[in-house]
Amino acid sequence: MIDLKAINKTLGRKLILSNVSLSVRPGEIVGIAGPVGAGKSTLLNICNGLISPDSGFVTIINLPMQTNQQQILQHINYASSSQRLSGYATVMENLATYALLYEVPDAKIRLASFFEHFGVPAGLLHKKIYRLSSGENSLVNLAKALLNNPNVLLLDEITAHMDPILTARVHKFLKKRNTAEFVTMLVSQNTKELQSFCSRLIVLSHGRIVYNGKPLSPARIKTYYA
Amino acid sequence: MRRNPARIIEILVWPGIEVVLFAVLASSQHGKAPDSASITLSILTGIVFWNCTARVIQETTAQFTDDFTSKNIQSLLITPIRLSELLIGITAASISKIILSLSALSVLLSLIYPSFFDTFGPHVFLWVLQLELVGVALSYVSIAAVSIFGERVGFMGWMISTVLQIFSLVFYERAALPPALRAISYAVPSSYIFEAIRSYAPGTPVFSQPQAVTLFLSIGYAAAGIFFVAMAFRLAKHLGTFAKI
Repeated sequence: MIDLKAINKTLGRKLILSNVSLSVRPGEIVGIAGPVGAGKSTLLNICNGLISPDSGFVTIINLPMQTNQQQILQHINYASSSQRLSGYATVMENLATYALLYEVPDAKIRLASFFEHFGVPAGLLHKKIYRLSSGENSLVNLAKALLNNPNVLLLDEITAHMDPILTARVHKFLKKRNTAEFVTMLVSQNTKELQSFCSRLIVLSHGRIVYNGKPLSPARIKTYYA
Repeated sequence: MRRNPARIIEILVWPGIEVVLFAVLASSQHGKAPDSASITLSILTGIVFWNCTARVIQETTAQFTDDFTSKNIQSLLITPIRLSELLIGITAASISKIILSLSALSVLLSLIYPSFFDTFGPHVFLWVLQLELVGVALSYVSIAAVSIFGERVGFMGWMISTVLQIFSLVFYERAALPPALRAISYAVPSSYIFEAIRSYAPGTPVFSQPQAVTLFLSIGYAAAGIFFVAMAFRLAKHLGTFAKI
């Protein structure tokens, strides 16, 4: 479902990704770990088209990114804990706008069920984005990312500001959702989360994949950080 | 602008204060020396019409910069939306706010200087439309700059509109400009509009040669602006500007 071949990326004078190749199969939840500046977020942003690689090939749902970006973007979505939607509009106004952009007809029902699942009070939908707490903001970004029921879900530190109960609920929800048609890629610094939530782990260091296999314990993950 | 006090001030309050100030000045001068009426009207006309262009540039840039700073642009760019659709959306939102601003200014102006709208005929609508088009075209240049360099060049909207004002002949004749600047002014579409406004006389045909030149230049500028934005977005994706915010 995701195929990256020989991806190289330099930003400024820094080599961010060096000859990165990886393949993600349907039904997988892939965790990406690595020290700060290892190229984790850049990797996700190459998958969602926000960054173009200097060389290499990106294929998502069997379509090359270079020539089919618009078509691919209908089937993928991305959320990060550091993103903010339009600040002076309410959560509902923002999500309704994105529902239009993704041409989601039953967005209100889908959103109501999503927020109800997480025990979020209805008042949150009428809060302006700039008034949200960091945890609430992450949940709203996740709701936005699930609006089009994407086959490829890219998450960057999405649980970083969530409390442990909400994090567990999010994990449960995403695991249940991740059936054979879907792929989830999660960048996280929380090594416990990567161990318990993901079906595969990739560790990046200095822009290279230094581990690609079964999830590891936090202590073992850190041995690859050198 | 929605419920954002800073943007309401930029769009409604500052232009309103400007109009009140100069309309009162115009009325006062007109009362003291009737001969000065054409000068004061010319200043007032310049201020009102210049708002059409300047505010579009400033508002469109501010809106894009807001989305850029908040990272909302990341979410927008990973939707299946096309660049043309994104630009149409930003432009339409800005123009709707400018129309709101102009409507408020018109009410203010008709209260303070009632004869203002009697001075011009239906030409006003065409002038406003063309000045908005010039504003839209140049706002794309500032959007391109913000895409590449980030929110630190969010001042481009103000800068472009200020520099453009010099060449737009808002308050003076083309001949008043030094030769080098005058040559540049021929390439600025809004200069033809302000010349047409100044030389307006009742009975002038609504669509005249200056309007045709402005329209031709504005469409050229808008096409170039869209091309700039497309190139800037491509470069920004290469530089990682949208992701590194």
